[in-house]
Amino acid sequence: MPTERDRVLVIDDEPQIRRFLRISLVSQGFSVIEAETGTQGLARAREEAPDLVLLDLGLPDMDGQAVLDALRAQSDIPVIIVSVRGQESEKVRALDNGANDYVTKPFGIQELLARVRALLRHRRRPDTTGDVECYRHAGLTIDLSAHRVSLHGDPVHLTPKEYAVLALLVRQVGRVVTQTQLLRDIWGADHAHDSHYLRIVISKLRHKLGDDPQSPHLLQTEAGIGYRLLAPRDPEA
Amino acid sequence: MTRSSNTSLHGPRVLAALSGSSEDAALIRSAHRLAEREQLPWGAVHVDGGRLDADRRLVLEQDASKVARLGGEMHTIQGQDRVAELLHYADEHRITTLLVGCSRPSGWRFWRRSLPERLLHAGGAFDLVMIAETSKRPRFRPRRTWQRFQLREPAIATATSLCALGSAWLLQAWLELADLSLVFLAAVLASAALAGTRAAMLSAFLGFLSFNFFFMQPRFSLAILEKEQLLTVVFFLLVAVVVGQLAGTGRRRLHALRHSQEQSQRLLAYSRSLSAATDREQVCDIGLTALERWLHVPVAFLDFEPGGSHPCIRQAIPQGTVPDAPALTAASWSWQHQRPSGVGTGQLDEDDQGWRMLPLSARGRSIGMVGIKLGQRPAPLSPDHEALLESLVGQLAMALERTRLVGELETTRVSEENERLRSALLSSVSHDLRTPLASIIGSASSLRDLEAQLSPQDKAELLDGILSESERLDRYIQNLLDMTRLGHGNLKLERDWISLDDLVSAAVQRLAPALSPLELRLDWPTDLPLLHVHPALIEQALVNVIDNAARFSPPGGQVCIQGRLDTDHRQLEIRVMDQGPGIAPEMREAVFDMFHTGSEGDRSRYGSGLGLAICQGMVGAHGGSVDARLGPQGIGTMITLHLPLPVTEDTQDSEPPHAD
Repeated sequence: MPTERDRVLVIDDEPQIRRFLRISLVSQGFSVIEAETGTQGLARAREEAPDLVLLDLGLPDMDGQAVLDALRAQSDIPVIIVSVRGQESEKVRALDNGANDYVTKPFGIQELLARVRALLRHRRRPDTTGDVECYRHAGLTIDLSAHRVSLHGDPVHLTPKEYAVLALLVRQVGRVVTQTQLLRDIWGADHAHDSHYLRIVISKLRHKLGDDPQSPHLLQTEAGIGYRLLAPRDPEA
Repeated sequence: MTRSSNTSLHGPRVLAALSGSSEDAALIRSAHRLAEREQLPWGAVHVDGGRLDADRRLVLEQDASKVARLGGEMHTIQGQDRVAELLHYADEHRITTLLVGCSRPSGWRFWRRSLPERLLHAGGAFDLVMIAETSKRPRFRPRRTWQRFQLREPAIATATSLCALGSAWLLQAWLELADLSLVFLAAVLASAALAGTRAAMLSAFLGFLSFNFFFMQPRFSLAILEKEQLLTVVFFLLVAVVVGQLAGTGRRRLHALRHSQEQSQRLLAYSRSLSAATDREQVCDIGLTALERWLHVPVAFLDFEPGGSHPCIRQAIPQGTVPDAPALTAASWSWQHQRPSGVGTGQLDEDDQGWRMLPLSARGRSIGMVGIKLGQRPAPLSPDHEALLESLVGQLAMALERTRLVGELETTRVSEENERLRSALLSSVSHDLRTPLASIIGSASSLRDLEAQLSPQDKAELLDGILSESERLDRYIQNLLDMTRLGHGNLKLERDWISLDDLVSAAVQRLAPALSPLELRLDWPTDLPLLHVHPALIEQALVNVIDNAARFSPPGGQVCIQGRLDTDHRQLEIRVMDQGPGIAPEMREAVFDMFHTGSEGDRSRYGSGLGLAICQGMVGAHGGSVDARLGPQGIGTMITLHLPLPVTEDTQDSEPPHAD
């Protein structure tokens, strides 16, 4: 649970949504700042320096994507997009533009809280230990500093590409990494659309790490968007 | 025998040598069939020695269109030696199979060998196939209408000769004998001009006799005594025959020219009216009318259901004409084979009184069929009539295909529009259903999952939220249902008398939660006439407009509802004004379109609702209209509902007009 009252900025034009988010988040020990337009939201983000932003894409004065761009120009504050726009293209665009996660309306409060917690945890950790260096979950150990991956104590042999994909996901643990981002970072900008490369690597990784593609407990596919390495203590895991 | 299998496949491999005779049809058919079987390109060639008569040219023109229709290439080679030209062409184009007819080129030159014999003799690197003409195929026999000319020609010849005789008799005192012959020559020319070559010949003969009988010594006898006179008479006859022939030919040419000009005029008019026709029925009608006027026999347009084999008669002239059973059989055959059948085609034409069926095809697909009761005509069609028929029917097919393509295009456009509307509907519905659902699900899951951490006040607030959002959802669904009813046009107006006060207060009550943070101003004269409307519908229209105004108002903003009579007291105007961001001028009409902002998703709150579209539909159902304008003092939006007032005596009396 948050220790020093993390502050969450909610940018949404629907008063009812703001109301239940406020009640729920406050009950979980967050403090909530509200904004109902994009301009207002950007101003509040500047003035109050919140720890996390929940951003609706459909705002009356400006598009949420534009708000996201403006936010990113100011800081690297974690942003979760909360929108009824369920199309993959919207999600991918937002994630590629720097959003940290995406929740489609309507959603259950636990799902949102889990994402919020994961982001805040991740954000806090680099401040203390630099980077996520070690991932331990269900018998799997990924030690990035030692460049070593082992499953139930046995070393797992990975190709350089497989390791690169896994390492990238470990650094963003609990969050969606878009296909484009993975492809661009690991294969290069020319291969940003060669998603089959990625599919092959992911399926090999799942096989080697003993993950079940039907109900993955490690590598979750966000259909049409990207992949998420489930956080060790994520309720969804 | 293939000469080389690795030559390029361009150009024909199977070649039919055409001659402009009746066997061409069989040649083209066989070449096409052979090429189809072997899956080779094919073509036809004709060696033009520049000696063709008009009939052959017509046949060749027909051949060319037939070849093109069956997917072949037609070439004409200029040259005198048919065999040499054919061999050269075959060699140059690596022809594998050459098809020739086996009739002799000219019947009277009996010493000449036929074309196949000469080709065989010359030899070539191809298979030579001789095609015998189907004996059943009727050759065109020009059945000239002798009857009419038999009386007219001699009558004219006799009359002109008698005139010449009379004139010569009167002039004989002044003219020499040789000069008198010129009078008779004039008669020959007149006959030629009036009735053609045969009349001219008869006139020459009569002139010769009368000249001899009446003017030469001894008079009133055919005996000729003087050598000079004999010469005069013989020369007269010679000159008369030659001049008569020439004049007759000239006359025939003139007629032919006039005829062909008429024909092209008719074709031009026909194609013009076809191209102006916009739908299938019109095209068929123009086509059938032209055929009927020209051929004077019943015509019909037939069609087949997709996959069916039974013809349906779509149109016929005269109306109600039904082709008989053999004709319908022929039609089915033609449909299947995409070839004409019936009278004069060699297919299923045993019935002399019957029909000819001409399938219309475009891009290898049958698109209809024209039936013509050619059996009713006294004579078979001449080659030029056949050619005209073919071009008329060909143009009809083209026009039909054009209308079909236009129709298809239109269908695609409409279905694209529908598709767009549907996706806009889906995106709008999903957005508008999800937004309240998001609050409901979020609040409910908070209540369940976070119960322990929530204060009683929080719980009450969440429950309130769930309720009000559920009501909003319900309103939206009601809107959707109303819209569907409006869309189906079966919305029944149950008009009743109601005052604006009642309508507005009902609407305002329903929107109390949304309006509570706002300042509401109601403004209308107390003496407004009663409205005669369907109360529930107009109330809903008002709810939609006021709801919109409330949603767009800044906190504490003012929403003003105004009621006014328009200047000529025909309409009541209900204005709803807010102090929100307003609507851009170019969007002010579009906001009333159903789902106009589907593409914008959840961006604009105006578009996400069906509200204004429904409002317009409902007011429209009452004969009124809705518009959006800039609010007063240039702030916000003013939506005006124009509702026509009833024009009954009753209301006029009870609600006297007053100054606004």
